[in-house]
Parts: sequence; C-alpha cells; structure tokens
Amino acid sequence: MRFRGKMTESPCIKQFINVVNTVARMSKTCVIRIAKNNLFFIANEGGGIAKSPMLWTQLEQGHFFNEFQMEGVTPENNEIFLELQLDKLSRTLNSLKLAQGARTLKIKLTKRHTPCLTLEAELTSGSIHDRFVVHDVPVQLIPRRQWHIYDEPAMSQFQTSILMPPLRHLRTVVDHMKSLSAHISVAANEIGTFVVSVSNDKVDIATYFRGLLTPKFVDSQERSSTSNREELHSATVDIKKFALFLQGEQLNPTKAICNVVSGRLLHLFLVNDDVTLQYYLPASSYV
Amino acid sequence: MKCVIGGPIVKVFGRAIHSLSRVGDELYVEPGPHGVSFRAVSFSKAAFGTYEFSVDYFSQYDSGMTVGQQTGNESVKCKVAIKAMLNVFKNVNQLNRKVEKCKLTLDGEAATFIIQFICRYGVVKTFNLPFIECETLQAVYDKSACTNYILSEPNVLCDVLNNFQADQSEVTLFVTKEQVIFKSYLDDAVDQTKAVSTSVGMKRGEFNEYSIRDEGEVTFCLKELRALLGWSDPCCAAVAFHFIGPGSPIIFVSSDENLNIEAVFVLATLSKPSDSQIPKLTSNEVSPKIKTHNVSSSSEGDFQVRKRKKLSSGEDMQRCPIVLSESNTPGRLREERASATVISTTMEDSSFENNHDKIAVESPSALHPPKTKILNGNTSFSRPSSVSDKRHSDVASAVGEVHNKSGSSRNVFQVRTPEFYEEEPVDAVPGTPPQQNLAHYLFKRCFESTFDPNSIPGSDIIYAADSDEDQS
Repeated sequence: MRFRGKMTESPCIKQFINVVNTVARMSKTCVIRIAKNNLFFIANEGGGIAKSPMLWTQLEQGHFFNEFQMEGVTPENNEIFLELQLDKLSRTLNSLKLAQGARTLKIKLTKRHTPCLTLEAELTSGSIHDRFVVHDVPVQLIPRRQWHIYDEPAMSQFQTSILMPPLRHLRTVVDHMKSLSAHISVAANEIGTFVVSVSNDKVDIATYFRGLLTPKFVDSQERSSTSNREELHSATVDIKKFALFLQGEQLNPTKAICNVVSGRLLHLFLVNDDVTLQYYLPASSYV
Repeated sequence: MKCVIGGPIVKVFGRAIHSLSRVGDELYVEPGPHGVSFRAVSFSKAAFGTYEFSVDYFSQYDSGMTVGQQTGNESVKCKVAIKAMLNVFKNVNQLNRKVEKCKLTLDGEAATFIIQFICRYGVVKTFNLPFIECETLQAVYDKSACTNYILSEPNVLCDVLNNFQADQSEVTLFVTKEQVIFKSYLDDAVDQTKAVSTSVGMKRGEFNEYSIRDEGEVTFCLKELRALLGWSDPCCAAVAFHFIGPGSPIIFVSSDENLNIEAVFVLATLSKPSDSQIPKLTSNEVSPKIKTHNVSSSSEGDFQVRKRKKLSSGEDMQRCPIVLSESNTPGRLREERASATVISTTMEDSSFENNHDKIAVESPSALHPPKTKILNGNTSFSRPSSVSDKRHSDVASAVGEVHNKSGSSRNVFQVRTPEFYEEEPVDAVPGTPPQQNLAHYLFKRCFESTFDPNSIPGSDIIYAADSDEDQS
C-alpha cells in the first residue's frame, strides 16, 4: 500500500484546505478513500439513511495534485481506505495557511509507530531560506471487508430537484431562523420555487425564493407529466445541520442543488469543477 | 513605590501582565532603585518569568526607598493575585486610546497596590488590589554558563510555533551547528496513536545570531514561550535562547531597548533525552516512576527558585520563631508522605526540608497529572534556609491558599481515588494515578487477560434483573 501526492500550486493548496475545513465542520471522523483518479472524503456518522454515508465528497485528483502515486491493497482492489479525525487534519492544514502560505504540500501515507498521513510542507518564509514542516497525523486503515460501508450512495428517488438560490443569501436567512426553531422545513416545486420555513408556538416564518432553475434529468419529462408541477414537496430537517451545509459556500460552488424526497430526505449537492460534495439530511421525526 | 507610566506605553505594561498571567497565579512586584520587577513563577515551579522595567520606562519613578537611612529601610515587596491584575488590564489595545497616564502605587501601610488610570475627559479609574507582603522571588540561573545561544526575531518564532497544535504542551528543540528542528514532544500520557506530531526545520541563516557549541536537544514547555512571544512579538523585541542541554534550564531573554524593558523567562527542561530514535512503543513501557527519578537526580540544584532571606528589619526577626514552631508539623507530615509517594520523593530530593510554609502548598502538587510531575522533579526548587521572614500571617495565608487555589485539585484527587483513603492512611498513597486511562490504572486486575469476572465472590448475585428485551 502506498500513497504519495504533491501539490505545488498555491490556489490548489488553498482550495484543498478549504475542502478539508468544510468537511471537518460537518463531521468529526471521516474516511478518506484514495483511488486512482479521485480522492474521497466520506462520513458515515449519525443520520445517514440505512447505513449509507451522509457526506460524500469527491475531489478530482488531477486538479489538485501535480504528482500522484498510489498503490492499493491489491491490483484488483486498487484503493486505500483510511479513517482519521478530520479536525486534526484541518487544524494542521490551517496552520499552513496561517503563515505566509505553503509553497508545496506533499501528502504521504507513512508508517511511524502507527500509520500516519504525513504532510510535508515547504513554507515560504520571510528570509531566503525555506522552512520545512512535517506533520504526522495518525490514521487508521480500514480493512477490505468494511469497504462496502463506504460505497457511493445511490441516487435518491426524489420528487423535486432545484438549484438553490445563492448560498450566502440563504445562509443569512437560515442563520436568523436558527434562533427560532431547531427544525427547518425545506420545500421546492418544479417551477422554481424554493421555500425555507420555521415555526414555533408564536410565529411561522417562510422565505420564498422564486424563479430558480431546475436541473434537467432524463426522466424528468415523464415525472412532470404525472404530477402537479406546482406542488411543493417538503422535508423537515435539523436546522443546525442545514446551516452547516450552507457554510460550504466557502468552496465557491458553481451550483448547489437540492433534491427533496418528500417527508424523508434532503439530498444536497455542492458542485464545483473539481469537487463534488453530497450531503444527506434525513428528515427529523419531529413534525 | 510610586510611578507613572505614559499613556502610549501602558499597553506594553499590560501585555507583560498578560504574559505573566500565563506563567503563574501571583504577580510579585519588587521595586528597586533602578526600576521595578514584575515576576511570576508557575505553580509547579517549572517556569519563572520576570519583566524588569527600568526607571527610564516610567515618566516618574520613586522606588520608596529612603536614601541615607541607616536601617536600610527597603521598599515594600509584595505579591498580588494576577487575576485581579488581568481584570485591570483587560483590553490592552483599548488602553491606548483611553488612558493618558497610569499611576502605580504600592501603599505599604494599607497593604494595597493602587493602579490609577487617568483617562481623557478627566475620568480617573482607581483599582485597589490588596497584596501580601513577601520576600524577593528569584530564580537562580546563569546565562553566561550556557554554551548555546540563538537570537531570533519574534515573528519568526511565532511562525514556527503556529505550526504546532494549540494543545501541544511541550516541544523539543534539536540543535546542530547548521540547523534547528522544533519537534513536538509527546509524553507517555498522550495516546501516541491519536496525537499529531509536528516538526519544523530551520536553517541557521534564519536567525539573527547563532552560536551552538554543544549539539543536542532540549525539551521545554511551549506555553510559557508562547506567553513570552505574546509580549515580544508586538514589541518586535528579539528573543534570545540560552541553554546547555537536557536537564538544565533554558533561558529566554527578550529586551526592548527603546523602552528599557528586559524580559527573562527561565523554563525547566526534561533531563532525559527524548527517545525519538527508539520506536515510541517501547517508551510506553518505561514507567513514569523511573522517569521521574532520573529527572530529579540529574538535574538537582540546577534551577532554584529561592526566596531570599530578608531579616534586616527587627520586626521580622521576632516573628521567625513563630513561623518555625508552627510549620514543624506540616514538615514532618510531608516527609512521611514523601517516603510513600514517588512524586513527593522527587520533590524532596531537590527541594528542602526547611521550606516549611510552602509545604502545605506544595504537597497537593503531587496530586497533579504525570506531565507536571516530570517537570516538578526536573527542576529542583529550593528556598533554602528560608526561615521565612514573612509574618505569621504568611503561614496562615499559605494554608489558605491551599484551600482556595489547589482545593480543586485536591478534591479531584479525593473523588478519583477513594480507595486509597479507605484502605490505608493518606501517607501511603502509591503515586498519582494518571489522568488518562484512570480505570486501567485503578482497576488493573480487571483488564488482565487472566481475569475471570465469574471468579469473583458474589458475581452470581443479580441485584436487578434484566429488563424485558426489546420486542422490535
């Protein structure tokens, strides 16, 4: 088993750090799956439906890494799964951001007294000399028999799919709603209406976003013919988790998609050229 | 003592207080003819910090010593609670804008330290902090004996330290003639499989001055160094490292030449070279007992925090016997305890029997987690012949301190290890249980592979039957 990747462009390093930070906020422990062409961050922790991951982030290796070598467990299973406390990795990476920034960042899988993900960074220092920093972040390797837990979740059978409004606006709205209720109802229909609403004993608040685009799926034609296009499909979810997802705006996603499985699930996407983040938010039992 | 600090430089003073607050709980104020020293020593006595403000820093200065008096009447020396001081200098950066000047007065009669902020628009804020009179606090160290010397800009050091995790407590400095490596030190208490280890390498060219005669390594606490940098960095005062090797103290000196302030921090270092070459797993086998012992024996007397005897005033002389007689009992008690506990032994090796009034305070430090333990033993502290000049109230206050300050740690101890108290007298406590894996430590037998829970008498008695199984 071998893994070694090197990033030499500082925008890529920054983006990578951003991705790790975003994922670390959503989940404490996380599984990193290293494959030939992609790097995945997968979190299974609490709330996923039927043991499927609740967070699935895919990074295109070619975009981030200038050099990338990996050798999986066996040639047939050419992948590596490792588990780690992502906040440790994120704190470590943030320290690289604190200084003037890293010129190169090398990530390796190493064997110290325990398996470690070794980060070697070359820092730009004020003087002519380079400063080398080495961090060993302990990881746990996941045996092959447990790999299936981290398979890519199947696409949910959603009723509506909608492109979310600019995340920053939505985030301000949701952050204000956070103080009113622990749960938020997210609803959408096929003609581009997106509604977030909270209610408590004293007040009901709903914010409507209209005229949004809906992504085209192959089977969307037949579905729209069968159902009422104006009908709102909604799911009530934990507002804190939803707000956490909205912090993903830091990734500068080109689009954010929300799929609603009525009453059961929100399947959220952040899509960038090289990064895709999927987040599953099950509806809370509270209604 | 009376002195006045000009408005724009009050923040420098405020930062020094903040920095010392990260070292110890008490601020020792000691005016002298050439300036005032503000000092602090850590609870375990593993770190000592002092800021010497020279007369030039103040716009007015009166040390309170009466020149020409035959008795040599010295100015008041005292300690105040640093938390109270912190409240006074809460927003250091805002002080600049509001405060026009700051007056510091030590009132020996009323036993209060008075801080006055004379602010704009005629607002005067007065803080009266009660103090306890005490002797000079002084760390015994010798800068000139140090063979290794590095001078560095504070921002360079800050950049380096930023790479370490915020909860990293100790760091090892490896020095060679050409380069320096800062490496995080993970002691046995830390789970090796969970902790992030970090190392930063720097070439000698990054430092202003660099002179290494003995290549080697030293391990010291990061917290106090960070505290010093918290002061040096905004002042842009270069930081000098003076050190010899493992076991002897490392001295950090940082001075602001414009304002004539010198900061000196003396930190204990681990006497045992880190076993970085040896795989870490084996180091887990080494019991902390042995480790502490090594530490204490080799570094004895290297670094002593001493309270200088002050018997010049007849008043103090009279009070000495009272102190002695009063403190005998705790002294004996402590020796007994020392024989039973490893940690105290190391304290005893190095610290001294006649350190009576301190005893009550120190013994709870044996109840600290292993990390502190090592440091305790590592630096040997003494206040030899401290026929503590302090008035009898000092004994009372020292005891009082135990209850206030270390009361919490003592409580924790009692809660954690009631067994010890029930089974045997307090004196026979066999060392401090580690903070982590406490269950493993206390109930060692239960985790052994040969342990059979069914073999325990009474294991077949069911006190409460299982509740119904979940039907679904």
